[in-house]
Amino acid sequence: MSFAEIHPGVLRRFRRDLVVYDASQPPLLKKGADSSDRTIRDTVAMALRFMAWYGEQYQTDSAPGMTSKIRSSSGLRFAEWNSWNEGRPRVKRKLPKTLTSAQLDVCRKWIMAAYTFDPVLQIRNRAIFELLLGGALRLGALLGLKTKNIFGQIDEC
Amino acid sequence: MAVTLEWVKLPEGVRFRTVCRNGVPWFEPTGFLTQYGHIGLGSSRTVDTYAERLLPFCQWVSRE
Repeated sequence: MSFAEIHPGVLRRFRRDLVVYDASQPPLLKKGADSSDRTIRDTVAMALRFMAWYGEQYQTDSAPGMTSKIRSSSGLRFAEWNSWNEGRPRVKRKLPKTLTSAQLDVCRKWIMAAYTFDPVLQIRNRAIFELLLGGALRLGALLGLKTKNIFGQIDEC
Repeated sequence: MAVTLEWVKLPEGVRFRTVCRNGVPWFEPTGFLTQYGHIGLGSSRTVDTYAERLLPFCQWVSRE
């Protein structure tokens, strides 16, 4: 079997084989079926980490959502998964790129210029832009926004 | 196929322990260990522990 053929169901079998003693083959863990829960959990967690890494590296079918799928199928609780990760050295992440104020002005101008045919659309799209920018809203929050959610005086049209 | 842990040396001179098949470093696990263990930043003992934890899975895959 190659790593590319491994899916959550196969990993479940790996977890079972760690504790089930097969006399015909040497045990996977040094102490075989007598291994502690912690050892078994760490071994499965490392296999999961490796498969998640493998999925990202080689863009296999299992890459999108592999981490959450295999974690849920492994029987590891979320806290266990996280606690196992605590000792790992962290790589400093770079901050995402942001638009400058000049670029934002270009966006504003573009919105106003593109919707000159309809002043209502012009105002609506400008308002959407300012809301997303100023309120750091996500798309779902924006779509679910009601006038009652906005504090302050609103002139009804 | 014998899957074992062996000491290997990177071209930069860093020594670390990785999963080998018949004494030859296994490409994928070695790539994972060098990245995940941050070779050169973390201690070799940490990478050794990661390799020990990964070894049963590699043995199981080669056995299947």
